Amino acid sequence: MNLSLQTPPHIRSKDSNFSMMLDVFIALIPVYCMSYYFYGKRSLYLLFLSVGISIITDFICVLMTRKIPNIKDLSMVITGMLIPLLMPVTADWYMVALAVIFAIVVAKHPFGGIGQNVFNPAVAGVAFVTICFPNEMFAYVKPFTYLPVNIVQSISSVASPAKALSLGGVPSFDLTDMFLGNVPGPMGATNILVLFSCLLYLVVRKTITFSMSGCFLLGASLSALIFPRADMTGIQSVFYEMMSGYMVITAVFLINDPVTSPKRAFPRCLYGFIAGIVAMLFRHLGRYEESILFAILVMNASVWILDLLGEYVAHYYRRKDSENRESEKAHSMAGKDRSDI
Amino acid sequence: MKTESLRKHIAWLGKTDPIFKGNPVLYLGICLPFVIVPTMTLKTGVLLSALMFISTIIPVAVYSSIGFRLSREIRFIISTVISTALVSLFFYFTKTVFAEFYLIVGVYAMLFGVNGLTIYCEHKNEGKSVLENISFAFKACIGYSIIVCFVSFIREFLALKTIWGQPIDLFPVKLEGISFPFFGFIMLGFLSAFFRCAERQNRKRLLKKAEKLSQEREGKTDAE
Repeated sequence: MNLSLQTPPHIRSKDSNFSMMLDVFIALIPVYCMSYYFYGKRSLYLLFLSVGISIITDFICVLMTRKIPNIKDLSMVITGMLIPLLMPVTADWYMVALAVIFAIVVAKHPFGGIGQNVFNPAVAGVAFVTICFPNEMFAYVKPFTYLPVNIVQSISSVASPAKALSLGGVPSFDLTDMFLGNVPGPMGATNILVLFSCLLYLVVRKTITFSMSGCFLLGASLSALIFPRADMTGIQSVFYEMMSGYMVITAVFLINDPVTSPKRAFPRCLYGFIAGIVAMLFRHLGRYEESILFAILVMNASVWILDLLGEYVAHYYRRKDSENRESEKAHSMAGKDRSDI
Repeated sequence: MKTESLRKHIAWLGKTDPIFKGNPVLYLGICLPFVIVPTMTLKTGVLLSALMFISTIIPVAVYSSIGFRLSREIRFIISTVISTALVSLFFYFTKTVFAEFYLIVGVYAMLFGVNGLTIYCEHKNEGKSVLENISFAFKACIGYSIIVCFVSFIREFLALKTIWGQPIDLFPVKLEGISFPFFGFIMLGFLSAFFRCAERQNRKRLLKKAEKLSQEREGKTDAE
């Protein structure tokens, strides 16, 4: 009998790390187009600065671990692209640089590099810069304020919808303006329409599944509905909370990081739902105007528990399924024997 | 075949065991909260080191000197009482020098009476002479002090832009996030990795040197 031997993997998929990262890269392009439309060339300056520092830092860290840098690894490019989107356009260059360096040197490589980091590097980097520069991180300007690349004089900032909600007030912005991004806020987090389009693109490309993003928004919406932060109806609260701050950009890009999220379907839904509730909890109790990033870091730390739970549930159902099959087989055999007799 | 230099290096490592190679904070993870949480300024770091010396050396001396007379549990209780009394006296006298020290240390103040380093030193050399115990405790406290003072210095310099309360304008920005305990954990992690890497590289270098010397010696013997 001739047996053919093949080395694994035996099931191949056309998806790869590079194709997934490329999809995210393509999804981020329209977000940057809108940030350029609203804030001018400074947004692109911060983008190139961030990506450049990210690539150089990642290469240095990889070389220090005596590995060969992988040119097809776009993870540091994605990290570099995400960080400026979570910052105001008035952020200084050293804030962006610090966030990127922290993300790569502290949050990514000490845990083993790509595929093994516990925390989302972009989230960790921006969270660190938020702690270091709390006033500068929330100094937003109105859309269509085209700042020079080098900001020399001080700029007067305006309050964002998230600021109004954190103070217990109702934002004075129109919901349509909030949906289209015509409000002060982080560079890439305000244009809800474009972000939902990016979500649609990523779901259609099967880079991400809608379950985690959907459960995240569901959890946050339920919390906003039941516990509004300001004097308004639950439905109003849902709309304002969903369209302010980092909520939608978290649902689209940050929470769907395949490395720092659970592996199976049920834990992913649970993770998204709990993350939504924790995000709203941090919004209620946090000291910053926007504290969703810290909620994501807390949830990243609890992924291992959800993975264990997922394995237990999967093992339970697999055992139940095999027991049912065996009992059916036994019944059919017994029936056959009786009919023979 | 070990050469003399390798032998000397290993002997030196053995003598300085708790300071570098077996540093209790970096290698054993002892007294981490005392290193991470209250180390906001260099002044606090120096006082923490002094406090650790006081709360470790004298109780270890007492613990080892009464060893042959009493059981381990009673010895432990006696040394803890002595350590707590010394810590209380220390805080009483530092009020005049640095009033905020007690507030900075906070809940960890009285925990110094039962800190992990004292317990580790008491049990590490059980059965050995009092002088050996005191010597080990002294070296362990030096190892702890080096780490505490370094972490305090970095955190004060980056978070407050001062050194020993004096403003220093060498670093362009103030990174207030460094004063959070989370960053203390990260710094200790990096320090630990650096120490272990340095020790590994040093050992490799000396082993290579030893092999080279032994090959030369074998070559000489063959020639003779």
